[in-house]
Amino acid sequence: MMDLAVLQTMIRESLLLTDAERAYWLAGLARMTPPQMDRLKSILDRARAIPWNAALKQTVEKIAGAAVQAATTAK
Amino acid sequence: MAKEKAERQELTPDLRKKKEVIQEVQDQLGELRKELSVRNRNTGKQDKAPETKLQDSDVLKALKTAWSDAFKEHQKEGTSKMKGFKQWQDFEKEMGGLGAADDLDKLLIALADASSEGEQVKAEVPLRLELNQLSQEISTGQKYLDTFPAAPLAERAVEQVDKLLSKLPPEMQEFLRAVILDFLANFGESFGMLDFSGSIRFRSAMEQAKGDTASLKNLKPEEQLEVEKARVDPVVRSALEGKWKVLHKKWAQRKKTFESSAQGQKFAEFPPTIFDVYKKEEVKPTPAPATTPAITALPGTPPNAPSTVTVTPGTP
Repeated sequence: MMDLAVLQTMIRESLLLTDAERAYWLAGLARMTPPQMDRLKSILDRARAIPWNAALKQTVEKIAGAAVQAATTAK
Repeated sequence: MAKEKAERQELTPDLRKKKEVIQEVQDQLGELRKELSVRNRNTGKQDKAPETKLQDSDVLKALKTAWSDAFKEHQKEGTSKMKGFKQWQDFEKEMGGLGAADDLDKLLIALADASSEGEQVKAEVPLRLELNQLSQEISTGQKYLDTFPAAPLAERAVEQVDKLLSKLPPEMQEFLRAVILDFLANFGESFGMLDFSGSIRFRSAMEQAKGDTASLKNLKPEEQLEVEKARVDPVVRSALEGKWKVLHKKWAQRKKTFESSAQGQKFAEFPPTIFDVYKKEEVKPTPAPATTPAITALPGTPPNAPSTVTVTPGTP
């Protein structure tokens, strides 16, 4: 059985989708059958594996993470 | 160590905080460089293919040439402008990253090259078609690809950046957003750019604080150094803009080729268009026609009072 929370997180974080698309798929989850959810997860998984998406996500998180750390330290 | 401590004590809390942020970011980037460097060495065959491809890449040549020119120009001007204040070598060391790690450069340029060749789009096309199919099954006749045409990669990246930074203090958000956008816009040389961009924002806050040149003498040595660096800024900016134009030209050519292809017909927008974001910012407002009545508020008019309309003589 697909973990709904995991799929929701994947939708929110996917670089394949725009914000409008994320809202669409999050709302659409209620109408989807388990096999359809599996297909959506598979699509998002493959999108996440595209080299550019993976590198961008890693870099942005690294920089933002450093900033959060710096902000916490400065307080 | 004692010198460093003394310097920290002389800085204002605001300045010290900004310096710490920059240092943290630079430290993290240093780690990232090392990781990527190790990964490149360890991945063997898989990394050799893009490297071979890069040897023949026009984009790479353009990047390297433009970056080299920018560096020489900056070095020449920078040395001259820093004369009598602090040695160029110290400045270079402090700014760091001008000669960004080769491995990292290669990886980033490979990514940029792949995107510019449309490989990012090629990878996304089948996924978007699958999303379209899935959408048709669960919706009541909505045409997914018509409703959600493929958005440029840069737009999606900016959305992500904003989300990641949204929990930070506003001032820090602005700073880091600019840094990351520069990173996205300049790919291969991003870490060189990053150092300058960070410093540019840092200095711009400094300049606001210092007021005018006359107050320079009243600044502490560390603050004077920042102001000196700021004087190099236009040179750096100008050189890097030149590099950006070369990239943009290449991208425009590829966009045209892609749009005329069968694949291109399916998607109105072609990928990494962070340049377009910058282009929008460059558009200057069109001056109003001479016959347009000038609308002015009289001095002392309260903000909510109706504006006084002054009609230029000769206006119909």
